[in-house]
Amino acid sequence: MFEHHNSINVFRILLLHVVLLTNQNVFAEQIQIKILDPQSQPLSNIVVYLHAEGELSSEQSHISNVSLQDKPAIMDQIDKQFMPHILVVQKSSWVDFPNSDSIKHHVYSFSPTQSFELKLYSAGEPNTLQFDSVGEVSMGCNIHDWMLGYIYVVDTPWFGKTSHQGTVSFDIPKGNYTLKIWSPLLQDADKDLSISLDTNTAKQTTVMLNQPLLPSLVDYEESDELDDY
Amino acid sequence: MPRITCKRILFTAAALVICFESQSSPSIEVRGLLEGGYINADYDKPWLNSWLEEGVGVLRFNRDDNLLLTQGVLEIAGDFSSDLSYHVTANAYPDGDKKFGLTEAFITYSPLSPGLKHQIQVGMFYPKMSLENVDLGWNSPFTYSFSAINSWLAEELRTIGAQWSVTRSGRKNNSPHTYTVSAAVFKANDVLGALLTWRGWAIHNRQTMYNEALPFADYFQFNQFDIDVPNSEVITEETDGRWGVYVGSHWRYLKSTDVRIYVYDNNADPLAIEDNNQYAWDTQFLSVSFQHKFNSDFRILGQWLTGKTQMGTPEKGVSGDYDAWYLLASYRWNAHRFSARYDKFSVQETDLHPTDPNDSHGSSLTLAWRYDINPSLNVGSEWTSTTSSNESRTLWQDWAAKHTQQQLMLLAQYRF
Repeated sequence: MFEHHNSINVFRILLLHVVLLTNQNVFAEQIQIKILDPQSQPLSNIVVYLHAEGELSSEQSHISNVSLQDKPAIMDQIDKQFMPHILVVQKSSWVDFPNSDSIKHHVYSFSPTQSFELKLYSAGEPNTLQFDSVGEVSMGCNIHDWMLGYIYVVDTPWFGKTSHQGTVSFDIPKGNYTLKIWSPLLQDADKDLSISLDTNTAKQTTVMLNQPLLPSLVDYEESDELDDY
Repeated sequence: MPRITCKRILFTAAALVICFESQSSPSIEVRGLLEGGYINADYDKPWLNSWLEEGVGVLRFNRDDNLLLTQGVLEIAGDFSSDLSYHVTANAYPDGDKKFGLTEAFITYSPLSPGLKHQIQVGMFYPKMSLENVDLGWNSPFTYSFSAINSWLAEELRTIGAQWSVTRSGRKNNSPHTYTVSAAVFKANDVLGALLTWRGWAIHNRQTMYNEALPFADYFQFNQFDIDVPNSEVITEETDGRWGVYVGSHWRYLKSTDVRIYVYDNNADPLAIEDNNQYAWDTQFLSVSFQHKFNSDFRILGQWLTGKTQMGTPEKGVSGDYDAWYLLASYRWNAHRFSARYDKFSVQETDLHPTDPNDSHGSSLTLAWRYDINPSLNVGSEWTSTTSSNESRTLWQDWAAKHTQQQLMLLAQYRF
């Protein structure tokens, strides 16, 4: 009796997976977003995220309500730099801050979105924080002045960052969306950029910024074994 | 009000350490360095022995120093909290007055703040004038011996006091420019300039430790005084009870270019005198240093220092102006580092005391190769040729002012 009941459960689970997979094939659309600067050069490391518009379809609603990943996202410190430089997470996500350097870090943020302090810690010490507010969290290290990293918290499950080719792809349920972008280097004219997007017509969307990005100051990330820090 | 002495400053720093230690368990990190090898010091006259052994030479080692453990460094550092840390550097040397001692011991308070970063350092430490001495134990990662300027700072200068620094981080403010201003008050350091004036500039890596005596050569002119004059100085002794002061500013462009400017005044009373007839030396100087990295493998460094010092009255005492500069180029090729440094230096006497000539000038060329076998072990060699012309040498019969000394070192450094 018990075995019979068990095999029915297994069958139901398999059936559910088949239905879900089929649904995804039927309802999901792959769209690609490309971000360019005013000179038509592709821009990498730009956060792109999509908010579903209007009344949510059952599929949109299902994904929106799906529970967040069990595993926290990772904001590491490697060679006295934050890695990645920009981390995008969904609201209420947990982020782990390991330390892959042989020295200690003292990570902090004074951002209005979420301020925090991870007191001096070495590799192996657990440091996990939950990010409940939407927006930009910029971080530094009190020991290494040049360290700068960002966590960008979005209230949507559809987010990503552009590649070196300036593109990011999404598998999203059919429907209407609002596309938004974020980077710490955006100038005022592009900060509130918001574009309506219909998956039926916009398989490939290109966004050109109104102004060039601010200088990235990426040279701060040059490592030097002879720095007197 | 109790008199503030350098011992009190160090004691206060130690008491703070003990106080915090009792409240929380501080972390402790120990790093060390052992350096030794073969040395060939070459000079044409026996009196050009090391200044550390009362010679009138300007290099550290003697002809008979061949196989030597040249230095040991033990650096103990840690944190009492996220804001408060400590740092102690203990040294061991085969030569000089003391074989073991401390070159630095300080605590640093560096609170987290949203805007400007403040830092307070209390204890005994080097001012951050040098961009050359950035290795473990204030050593140079480029050459084994230091430039003339930093050899002098190593032997005669130490802050025993408190320093306050404020930094505006460029990265935090989305700017390529980072600025730091520092100001310090300190005690001791009242003999700063004495060894420099009498001996002239030197090239070495021997750092004077707390309460260690530096010998003077048996200069002929000392014998003209009616009183016994000291044949050594202790750089960490306080003579006049007055505070010295220095201010410095750092500018850094991204992580590629650094410029540091310091104005230093030990504010000593040149008429103050100790029981052993050691006068205080009133010494001021300006130091400008820079570093520019062309890329991750090639960089140049330089420093210019100019100042003056005075002991006693202009009529009966000693006074002089001094200048030095160096340029250093360093190139890294895989695990090899090649460095070349040129030093030029002088002391010009300004007192009215003809029987105590203190004019000196000279130059030095240093070539070094270092190879990192692994992170714990490096080997290398350094060749130095230093020419110095010191008028005080002519007080001895048949001695010449100008001499050239050469030194070849094949050294290994083990780190842990």
